Amino acid sequence: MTGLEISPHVPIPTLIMAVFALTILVIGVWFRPSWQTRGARVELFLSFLSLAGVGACVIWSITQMGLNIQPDPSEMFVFDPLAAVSTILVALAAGAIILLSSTYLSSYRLPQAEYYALLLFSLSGCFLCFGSEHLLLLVLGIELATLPIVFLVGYDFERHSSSEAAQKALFAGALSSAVMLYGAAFLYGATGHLDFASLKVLLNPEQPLALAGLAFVFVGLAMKLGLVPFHQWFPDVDQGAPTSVSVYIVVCGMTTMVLVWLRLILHGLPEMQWLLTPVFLVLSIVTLFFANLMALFQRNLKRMLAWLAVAQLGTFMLAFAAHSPEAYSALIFYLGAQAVGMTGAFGIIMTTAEGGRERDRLEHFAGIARHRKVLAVAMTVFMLTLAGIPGMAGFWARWQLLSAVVAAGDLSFVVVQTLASVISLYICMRVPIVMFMREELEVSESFLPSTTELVVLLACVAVAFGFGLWPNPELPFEWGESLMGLLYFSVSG
Amino acid sequence: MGPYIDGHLLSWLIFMPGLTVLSLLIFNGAIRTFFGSGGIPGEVWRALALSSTSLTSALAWAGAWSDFDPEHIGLQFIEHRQWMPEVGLHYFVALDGIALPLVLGVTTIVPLVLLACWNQVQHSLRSFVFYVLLLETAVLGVLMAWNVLLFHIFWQLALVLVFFLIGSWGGGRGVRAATRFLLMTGFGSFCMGLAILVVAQLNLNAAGFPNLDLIATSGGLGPGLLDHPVVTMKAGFSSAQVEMGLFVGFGLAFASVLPMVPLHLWLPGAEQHTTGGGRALITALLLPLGPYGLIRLCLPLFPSAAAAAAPYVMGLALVGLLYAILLAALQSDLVRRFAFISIAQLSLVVIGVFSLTGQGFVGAVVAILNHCLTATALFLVLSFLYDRREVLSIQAFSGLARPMPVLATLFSIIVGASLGLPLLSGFVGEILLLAGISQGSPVVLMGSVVGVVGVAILLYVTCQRMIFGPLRVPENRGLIDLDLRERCVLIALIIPMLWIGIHPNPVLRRVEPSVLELMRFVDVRQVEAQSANRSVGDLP
Repeated sequence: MTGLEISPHVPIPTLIMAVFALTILVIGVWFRPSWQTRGARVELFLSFLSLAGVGACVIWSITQMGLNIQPDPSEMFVFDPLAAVSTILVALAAGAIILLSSTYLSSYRLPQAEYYALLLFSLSGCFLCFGSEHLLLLVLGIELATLPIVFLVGYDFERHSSSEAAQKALFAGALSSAVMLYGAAFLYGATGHLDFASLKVLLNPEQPLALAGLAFVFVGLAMKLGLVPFHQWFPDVDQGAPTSVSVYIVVCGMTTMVLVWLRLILHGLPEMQWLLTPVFLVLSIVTLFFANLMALFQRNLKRMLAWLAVAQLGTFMLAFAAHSPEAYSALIFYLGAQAVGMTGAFGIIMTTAEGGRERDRLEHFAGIARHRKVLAVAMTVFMLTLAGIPGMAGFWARWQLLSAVVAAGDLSFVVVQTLASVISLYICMRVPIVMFMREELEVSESFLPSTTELVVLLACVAVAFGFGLWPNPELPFEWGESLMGLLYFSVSG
Repeated sequence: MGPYIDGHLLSWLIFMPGLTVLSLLIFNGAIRTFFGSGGIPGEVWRALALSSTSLTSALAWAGAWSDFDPEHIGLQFIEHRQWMPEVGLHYFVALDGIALPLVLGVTTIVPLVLLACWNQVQHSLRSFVFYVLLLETAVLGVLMAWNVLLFHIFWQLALVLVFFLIGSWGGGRGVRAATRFLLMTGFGSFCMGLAILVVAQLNLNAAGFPNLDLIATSGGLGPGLLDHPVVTMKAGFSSAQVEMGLFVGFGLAFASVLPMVPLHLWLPGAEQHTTGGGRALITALLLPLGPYGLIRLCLPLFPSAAAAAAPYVMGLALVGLLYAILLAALQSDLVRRFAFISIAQLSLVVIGVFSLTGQGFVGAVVAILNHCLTATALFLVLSFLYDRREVLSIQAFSGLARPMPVLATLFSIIVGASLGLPLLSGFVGEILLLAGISQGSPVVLMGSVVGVVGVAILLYVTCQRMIFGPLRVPENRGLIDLDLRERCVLIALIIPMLWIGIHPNPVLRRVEPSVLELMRFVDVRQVEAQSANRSVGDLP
């Protein structure tokens, strides 16, 4: 490589995000006095600036994919192919969310500079987790990712539900971080190290201290993730937050946590699989059924989607239980497919919000197919892909993941997952039912999607169909050929 | 045929309706965007839909007439393209003697139904046309697919479209019916998806590469699922329980659409609350797919499980047959009554299929076709009556022969065909089915005969009350007889009934070779004999 050689152990995407976030903050302060006159143009500029930052991260990750970078035991951070794929996935979703946010925020008359800055700070945390090879760095990254989310959730603080949700997010986040750190301390006490390479060798589950540490770390991560016995905060926060933040939590936040979990298991705890598989299976079944059943009773669309996202976590847990390279590759594809569906569905909710009023209840969508055909059809596509109907991206995601689980020999859990997905099929189809088959409750105000929103939504539809008709579940590996080797290496020891 | 169609006839058939409606959709959107008007009017959609489906039908008949070789054993009009080799999904469509009659039936019925309900759909006409044409594409895809995953994709598409067709025009009760349909058939088809997944995995373990084609073909990658029962049995279905589980997985999908009795609950409500056209389409397009799937996938893929399960399935279907007749007799709503009669007739088909005999299979194909024609015609007659009276309860009609002689004549012929009168199409199918069933247990045969007689009595009594007898209801005195359009539709449906009834040979001649081929996979003794002759080493 000619010119400047950048070490793979420098967290470049995190730095990019931090720089862009600070720039946006400064610009926001600078233009504050003349906000009224030049507001719209500045806001547009800010959203483009944040997009540029996210785009820079994507491009950087793509250039790093081909280099076969391996973790170095002496370094805390490595930007290996897994980190690159994770970064690309989350950055693309974040880009779509940023595009969707600007119209939404201006219809609520919320200031935008701080919003984008907080979003980018949170992303910088996510990108830090993706490459961390050290438990403390991981915790630091998670904190950096989740703390800005608390402020984002309370961003519309004059609305009661928003500030209430922010409090819940704060307490739940603090508790889970405390539990996780407590576990990390135990692990340190048991092994004397916190880097993944040492943990992999030294961790001995016969040791009660190590076992307790492991359990605490897992409970903390499960709380951050929203797995079922630790999920209570998740739907509340998601419902109360501004919709553009809800989609960030569901898509970027959850994806990040799953990828972090993946990294921790692959690099730190591959020897613990015999211990963890039953835990994953139990969590999976509990999550699948409880979350799907809860989603069944929701009338609020945001809450319903949040429960649906929790239910999908149950399926992800099956991949962890199967613990094979195929399962993990399918998991990454699944995360992408779900991100498309969720971004689209929340995007539609954002589009219909108008004049500072959320239209997020199921009744608000009654009969909108009559006058807003494009939105209704797009929403149907997103729901079908979330339900996993053939011809959509979600189907192939589920297909690949369940194939891997079947190959690992867990036939009964696949049956359970199928039964649960019949429930989620019904949940997803409730939205088209309401949109196409019910009469309009009120004459809808003329909410029209802005051009940006329309482009993002149609792009999501195109991706949902595109990966449905020409899926390539091994896409992450074509991006970075070394990832497959990495997974094989990690899984087989 | 032209150079563009040669070699791609089936793709033309499958995609012509769907592409028509998709291009209409795009033009509509473009016009709305650039000219700001309301888009292409629904009447134009309807007219184009009628011409497109008629063209599809003409193409199907022309292909069947000129290029289909009735003596040929195996597939014809094969098209094979690799789609996703990494999961074993290929675009593999072909036609054999079992699918041919159904394809002709479906392509013929769709334009007739569109014509029959010409003025019926008042609101959302464009959506109606959209669902109908896309549904035809999906159903033709299911009938011609020879790749299991391709079959599944078309299958789910059909279900989603029927879901919208049921729910969009029926108000609150329609929504409830659609939801029930979604839950039952969705459950079934998710089970099928899971079973396909397991089959794919087993096949992968056995053959070394993913391939979900049913049989090997020139463009394909190698042996299909049916080609190496030896390998699949030895390496994959090591235990009978796994094979039985897969059989049940597929079977649930087909039973839920068929619908067999514990899963039948969606049908009467769905038929009752959709439009007249939707009703006819569900009957003509969706219901045949259930028994067709059993014949095409369930039995040849899992012959041992099918043989083991046959007594139970036959028992269940027999119970369903008698139960459906009982319920049909208790209905006062004509649509519900005919829906239960549909269930009874299709249950008889299931009994015939699971007799696992050649006659049973041939009879099943003819009976499915007959059900397609007669039940559709019956529902269309009901929708013509509904257009005039806006009621469908049985008390509202009596002595229709006096004001509506043409309707009375045509309706009687259709009922005759449905109940199996000689010289009409129902007779051929029923006789063959009963001949197949008679090779098994006499108890089942007795039950089936009781069922056939019960259906006949029920249909006869219904016809008797509606058409003949005194004209009791004063509103019926002034009813106008069928107009030219309605007569043409019904006569067009009656012609094949008469044709099959009087001279069934053209149909049977085409079905029989394919059934013989099918028996090679289904008959457990034959399968075992083949296993003895072949070994794993034969396969590439």
